[in-house]
Amino acid sequence: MIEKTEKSVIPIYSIGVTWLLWAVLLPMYSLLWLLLAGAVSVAVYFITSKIFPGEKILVPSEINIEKSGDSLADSIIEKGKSFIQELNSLNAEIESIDITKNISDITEASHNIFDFISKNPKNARQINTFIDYYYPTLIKLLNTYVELCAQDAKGDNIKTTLGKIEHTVEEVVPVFHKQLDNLFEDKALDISTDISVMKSILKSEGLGGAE
Amino acid sequence: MNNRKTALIITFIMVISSIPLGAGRSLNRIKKSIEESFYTGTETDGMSLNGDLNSKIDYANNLATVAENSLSGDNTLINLYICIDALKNADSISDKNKANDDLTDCVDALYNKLMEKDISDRDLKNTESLYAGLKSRNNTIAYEAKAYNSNVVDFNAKLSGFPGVLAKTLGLVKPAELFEEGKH
Repeated sequence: MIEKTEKSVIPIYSIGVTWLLWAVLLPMYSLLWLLLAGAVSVAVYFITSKIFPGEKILVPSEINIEKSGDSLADSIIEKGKSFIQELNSLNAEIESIDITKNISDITEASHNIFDFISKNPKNARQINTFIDYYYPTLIKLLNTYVELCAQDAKGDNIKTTLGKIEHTVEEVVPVFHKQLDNLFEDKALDISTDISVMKSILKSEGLGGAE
Repeated sequence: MNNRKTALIITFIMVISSIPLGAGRSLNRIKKSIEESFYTGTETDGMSLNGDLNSKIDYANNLATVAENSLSGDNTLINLYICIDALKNADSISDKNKANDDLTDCVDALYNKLMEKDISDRDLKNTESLYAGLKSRNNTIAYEAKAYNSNVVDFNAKLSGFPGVLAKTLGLVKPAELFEEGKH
């Protein structure tokens, strides 16, 4: 989810209202008067834009993950896209700011995970558990959350369940970040091997600095 | 209504419709003030075209009264009465304009006829005096009409430019009427 400012329509209407009021109350028989009315309506637009700047809303970020060419990785990527879309839809229905922020964190981490898979298809198997368990369970929980939120009268059971889901979602956020981090494990290992080899060569040639 | 595209379309319609409406309203206001000046005068001297026309009617009535002594039942006199009534009953400026021209013709015709007749010295003196008064009224009317017509020409010029032409085309405002003596 990304934050966007949805501009208010009041400044736009203020232009029309200014022109109508001008037409009713002030002269409008020459081009000079029309230019003056235009200038005043522009000023009114800017003033009302300051007074009514609009509201900030969260909109789903674009899911732009390319295919890898590997059939297993691509099927996982397609499933992942579908999960992200579903999470975005559920997030749009939820009003609670805390859980919304956590879901946004999860979708952002998920986007990075599937982007990594598209560039490194050999790691696709590493996220099987995620695809088969975490995402379906998370979506099931969030569907229940939306359903319970829609109830007019919220009894103790509903409140407790909502609280539990919120807590679980909060706990699961680091898991997604951790999964992303795990995917970089091989790369980290490769890099550390390269660094060790480089250091050895530098040392053997008498070019190495302090350890 | 909360959609920006809808708001833009509605605002566009509001702006576009306010131009001819506003132009029509403000031009009609100017026209009304010009037409009022026909009755109240263009200057603050208390003189007005309508006042001069009423004064002309008074002179013409007096002339008719004098003419009754020698031309009672004559067509020229009857025509003068008809012309006086026409000017009295004229509502619009163009009707008053035409009726004034007709009255001038009727007065001239009656005066010529009276001069051909053998009228008393007293009637002759009154006729000359009233006819001179009528001529004087015509001069005043011509002077007043000049100022009035100048405002009408300026106003009608506004209807040729934008946005006046738009209001005129949509029938929201009509040109003001000139008061031109001797054109009818």
